[in-house]
Amino acid sequence: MVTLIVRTSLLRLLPLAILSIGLAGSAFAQLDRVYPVSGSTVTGTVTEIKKDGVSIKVGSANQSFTIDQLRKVTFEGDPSGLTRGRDLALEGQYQSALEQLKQIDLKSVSREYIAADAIFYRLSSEAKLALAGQGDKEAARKNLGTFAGRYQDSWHFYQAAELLGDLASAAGDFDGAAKYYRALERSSAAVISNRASYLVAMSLMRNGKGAEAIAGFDKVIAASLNTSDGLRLQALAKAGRAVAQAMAGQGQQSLDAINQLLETLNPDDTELAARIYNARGAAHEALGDTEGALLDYLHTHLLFSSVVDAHAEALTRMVTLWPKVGQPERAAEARQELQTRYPGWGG
Amino acid sequence: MPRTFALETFALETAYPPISRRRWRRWLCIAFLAGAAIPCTATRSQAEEPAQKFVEQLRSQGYHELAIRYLERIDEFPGVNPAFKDAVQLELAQVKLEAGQKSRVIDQRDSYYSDASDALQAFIRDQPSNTRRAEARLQLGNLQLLRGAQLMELGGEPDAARRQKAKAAFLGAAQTFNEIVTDLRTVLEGMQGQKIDATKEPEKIALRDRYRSEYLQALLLGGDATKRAADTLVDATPERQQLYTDALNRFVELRDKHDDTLAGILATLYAAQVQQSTGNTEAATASYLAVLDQPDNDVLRSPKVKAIIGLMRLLLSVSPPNYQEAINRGQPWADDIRPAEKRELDFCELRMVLAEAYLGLAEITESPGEKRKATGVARELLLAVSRVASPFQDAAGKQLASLGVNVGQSAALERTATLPKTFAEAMTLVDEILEEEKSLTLTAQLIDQRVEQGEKLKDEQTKARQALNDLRVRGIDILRHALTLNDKEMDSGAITQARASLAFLLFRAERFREAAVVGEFIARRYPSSELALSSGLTALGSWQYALRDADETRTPAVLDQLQRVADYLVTQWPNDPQAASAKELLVRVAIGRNDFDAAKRYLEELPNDNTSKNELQRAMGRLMWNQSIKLQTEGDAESAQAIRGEAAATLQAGLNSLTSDSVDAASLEGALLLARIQMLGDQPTEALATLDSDIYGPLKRIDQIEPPTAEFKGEVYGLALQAIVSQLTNSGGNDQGLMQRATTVMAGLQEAYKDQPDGEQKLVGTYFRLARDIRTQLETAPIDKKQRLTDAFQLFLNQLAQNTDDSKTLHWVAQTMLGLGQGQMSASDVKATGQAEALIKSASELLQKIAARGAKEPSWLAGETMLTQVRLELGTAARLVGDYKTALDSLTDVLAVNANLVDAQVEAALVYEQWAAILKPSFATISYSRAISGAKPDPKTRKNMVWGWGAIAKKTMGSPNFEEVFFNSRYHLALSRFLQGKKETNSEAAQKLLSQASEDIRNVYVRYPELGGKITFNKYDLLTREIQKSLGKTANGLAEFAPSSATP
Repeated sequence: MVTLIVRTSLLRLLPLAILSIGLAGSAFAQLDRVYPVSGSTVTGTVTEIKKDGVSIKVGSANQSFTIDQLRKVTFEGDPSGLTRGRDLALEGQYQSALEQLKQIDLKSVSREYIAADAIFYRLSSEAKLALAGQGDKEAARKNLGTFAGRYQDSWHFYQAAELLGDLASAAGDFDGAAKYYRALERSSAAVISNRASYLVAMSLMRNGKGAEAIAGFDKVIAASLNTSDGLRLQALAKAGRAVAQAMAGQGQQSLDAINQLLETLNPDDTELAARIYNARGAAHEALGDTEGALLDYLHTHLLFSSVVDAHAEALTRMVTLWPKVGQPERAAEARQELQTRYPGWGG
Repeated sequence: MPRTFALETFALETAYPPISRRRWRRWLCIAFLAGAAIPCTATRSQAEEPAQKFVEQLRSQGYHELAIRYLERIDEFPGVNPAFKDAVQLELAQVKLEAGQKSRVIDQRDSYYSDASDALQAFIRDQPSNTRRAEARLQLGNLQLLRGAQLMELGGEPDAARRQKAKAAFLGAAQTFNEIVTDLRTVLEGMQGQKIDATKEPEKIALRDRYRSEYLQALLLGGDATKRAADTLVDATPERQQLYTDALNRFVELRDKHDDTLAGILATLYAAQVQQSTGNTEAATASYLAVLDQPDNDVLRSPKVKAIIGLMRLLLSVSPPNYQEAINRGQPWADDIRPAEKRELDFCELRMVLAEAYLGLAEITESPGEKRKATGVARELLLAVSRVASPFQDAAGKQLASLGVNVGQSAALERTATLPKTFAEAMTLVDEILEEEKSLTLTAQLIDQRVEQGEKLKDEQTKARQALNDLRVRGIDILRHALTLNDKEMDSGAITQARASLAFLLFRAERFREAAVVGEFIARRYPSSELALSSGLTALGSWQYALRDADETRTPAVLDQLQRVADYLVTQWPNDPQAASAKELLVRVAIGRNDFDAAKRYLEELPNDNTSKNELQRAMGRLMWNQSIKLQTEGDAESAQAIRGEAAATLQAGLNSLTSDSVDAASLEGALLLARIQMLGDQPTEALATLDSDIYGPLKRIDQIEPPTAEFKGEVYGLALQAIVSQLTNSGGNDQGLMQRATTVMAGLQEAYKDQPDGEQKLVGTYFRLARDIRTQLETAPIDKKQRLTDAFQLFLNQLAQNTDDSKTLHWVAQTMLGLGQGQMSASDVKATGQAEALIKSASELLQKIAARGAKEPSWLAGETMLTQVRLELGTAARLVGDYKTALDSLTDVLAVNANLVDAQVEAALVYEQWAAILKPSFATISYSRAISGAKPDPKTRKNMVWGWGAIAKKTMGSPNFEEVFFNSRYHLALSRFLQGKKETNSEAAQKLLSQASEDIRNVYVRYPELGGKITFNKYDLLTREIQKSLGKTANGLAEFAPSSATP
């Protein structure tokens, strides 16, 4: 009988509970949290999410964050799988993140923001794994495409677009990649819109159009970007530009530019480091210095292999360069690693 | 609770691996776990080239040669920590030491050690206050130890001389270590009083700990070096005893003070070894057992196996030997040898000593079964030892020989005498065979290397090759057998693996066709298998080798196969970098087969980043060129031209992507070919630009790059000259500049051919072709261009004349100049002027030289006829420039030999006629008379050698072959008479001559009213009118003589 009473009372309470959720935005303060890239966490009620930023109401005041200022946003009512999965994904532990995120029952999620977050982190983890050769790139591309179409106002929209570009690029579809990257141009955050120029230039370069890419890199280098992310983006653009120069046979100019970057390189920034050493390799190749090029690509291979595309690129070049210094068996090893770690790299 | 070690000195083992900072750091981490607060890795966030980490990674990968090159190029990397740069010699030494240890080539190894020693000494000398100085000295001592150990262990039992050298090396090492001990003791004592705050000055703490660690190492190593010095002495001399005592004292002290450290444990082990050497069996046994009592830890594995070996030797050395106990001690270790340890010296020794124990047991046991079993185990152990290069290899071989086992026989081969029953069993065997194949291949290669260096090891070489071949054949048999087994364990992956192994072994056994078939089967049948591509590549490689071995008749078929496999790989794995090599191969095969269409298609498919694409584009350009020649020969000029256009575009693409540093001889060849095609396409400016390119232009780079052929330079300059000449024709521009350029290029051309055996011939050939081309151009050139073309032409002709001694060429030059000069004169000109005069004068001078030399050296000329021709032309040339005397002399020479030469007669008559025009009247009339009636009577016949117009006309009258000469001579007869009349001062005589002239014409006209044609008719008519005027008649021309109207 007791059970029945409880059940009956639960049944009675249910409409109220639903009602209270419906009123949550106005009647009760929520514990949503915005974690900015720098500064303290802000707790309040997320009132608006757009593709360019998030607004959170703290007391009676609204605070807005543009996407380049955001590290993560958590919501009251986040399922535990999302809380853990999100953090794991942000740490780069995509496999573990997926295990958590797959446990979420989306039907039980009460807020659309939460659903969007849960879906994004799951699909982005799958995409990252696919890029690292541990998943189906085509499926990842299709699913992320659906996400980007459905959640056009998600603050993850531009991240999704970039990932779509990365997946297209990894499959050798450089024109397709450029189309995705161009979506970032619409962002009001200067560092994001400039990132579009950088990424488009990178895909042009990978498509063998180094001369066309230079304009894109120059645009980023000339832009007024004063944040640390902006300066980092400019360093990446300089590295990209140096590769384009190397492709045009301007090996020495390319090497000089890269050496300047090396002087200020923080080796803890693995992505930047990997790209700079790859660019240096390209410069040495343009100068006909095979040994120098190998030393550069080996930096990426031995020290910065966590940067998937840069590592795959370094391995690809090493497959070609090792035989030139009389080491075909090392070329075979590099090829083996390339095939094993990044199956289907470059399409 | 597992024990940890406060300090690590494990590096001081027999193998003497160089001590890397990383390794020490890792070991120091053990200390950290035990409580010592030593940071293992420093957190870095400042800008810095991660040099230390990178070198360590390169070393761990075995890329020693690149680590060395990186350190040698360290200045090229910005942001390297200055402390690292200061210690770069030390880093180099460490890498070289390690490289030396890994090297299997004696010379190379010694060279690495020698370099390492130099680098260490340089570091110690140049960096007196560097904190890593002690580390460097430790390495130096290690190196000395290593050399001593090599002298004792390599090359069989050491003789007295080698022992002496080894002792010196060990004592030198001991001294080095003892000096370090002294120095560090002082430093550490100095540090002892200092109060260092670990939180504020962690680096000082780390430095102090490092010094302590190095101090212990030096202490232990010094003892070890002393012990080894004693080991070199065979007899129990007082010196030997003293050295052992010194070593033992040090070990005991270390053991007692640091028994919880690895240094202490190693000291115990070394103490045991000294005790064993000095016959103190009991103490040695206790010490060995103390080492073996230590807890299990990978770090202690090597000291422990050494202790086991020592203990076993002790057990075997007692009387009677305790074989069973030795086996009981050693067998568990032998059963537990890890794959990576199979080749380590300690474990080889363990197996060797264990084999001795088993053989001893077999000796004393009475049971035949036990005896056989013990011998069998010993044989397996000895076979394992005999397969690894070590100081025990020879002894193992001898033992095996005494057991009736052929050492060359592979162990795996022995075990596979019967075919396996299951697939799994077969694959286990195959794995062993593959492992052993690798080892035997290396052995065979080393023997080959030694044979190449002059060692007499032919028998060993034959045996090694045979053993290898037997092993491969056996592996192939087993795999083929395995693939016929119907076994439930045979899933498709395992079968593919078996087939891939089969393809590999067939390839290694040089059964290329079979390897290709199997490899291709896997690639096609199981394209999704991870072995598919590598098997396909095996097939591709096999066909390449098959191609190498194929005779001419088989070559096309093999090429077909090669192309087919490559085609498949490219289609199946279009983006795989290794498959890209197949694409490249396809282009090469097609080019090699002159398969123009296929080569073109494959080249288009080759990715732009293919590093050989430039080279292939140039090769393709050559192929297209050949194709165009073929089409041209077949008469399809239009297609030939189209392909030449494509060839130019392909070559240009190949050249455009070159950088200054990547240009080689083949690139220059490609550029020359492009320039040739451009010339053929009437693009001399473009051709010259190609030859002048700063990057690949042969004219610019010719002195920087070894030319592809001896003729190349000459060809380049020749083509450049051709281009310049064409520009002269085409451009209205800088003629002077071009002429200057031509002169410079000519100097280059002469230089290019200077030292070549047939250089002169080639040089002349080039000039000749150019001159001929210019002459062709001159014939069609508009008048305004003729002038500058002639200048250019004269330049070439002069060069030609100056550079050749060939009579025919010189004659051609003279003829050409003469013809050119005549061409510039109008029909009415009697004497040349201006440019024509200069040309004819040059011709005349040249002809005089030819004639003079020809008269002296008749053999120089092609024959008598040629001299006649030269003299005749000289006559003409001299006449045209008014040098009548020379002309007449030359013509007389001709006529003296051949009076009937009509051309010479005509020319001589013309000389008299034209000469008369410039003479005073008294002489002029005589000259006209000679023109008319002849001159120069032959002293013998009294007949005139020069006939004169009258005789010429008479002799040629009625002959159809000389019709033109006849009418011409009759004309000149009348003309000479008319001119003579005009010169005649006596009016009556003059009148007579004029009338005679008129009669001369009438006589011809009456008989031949057409007068040889319209032109001659007009000439006659004009002359008649002049005569009529002079006679005071009506100037109605030939009409005077016509009964009625007479026109041709």
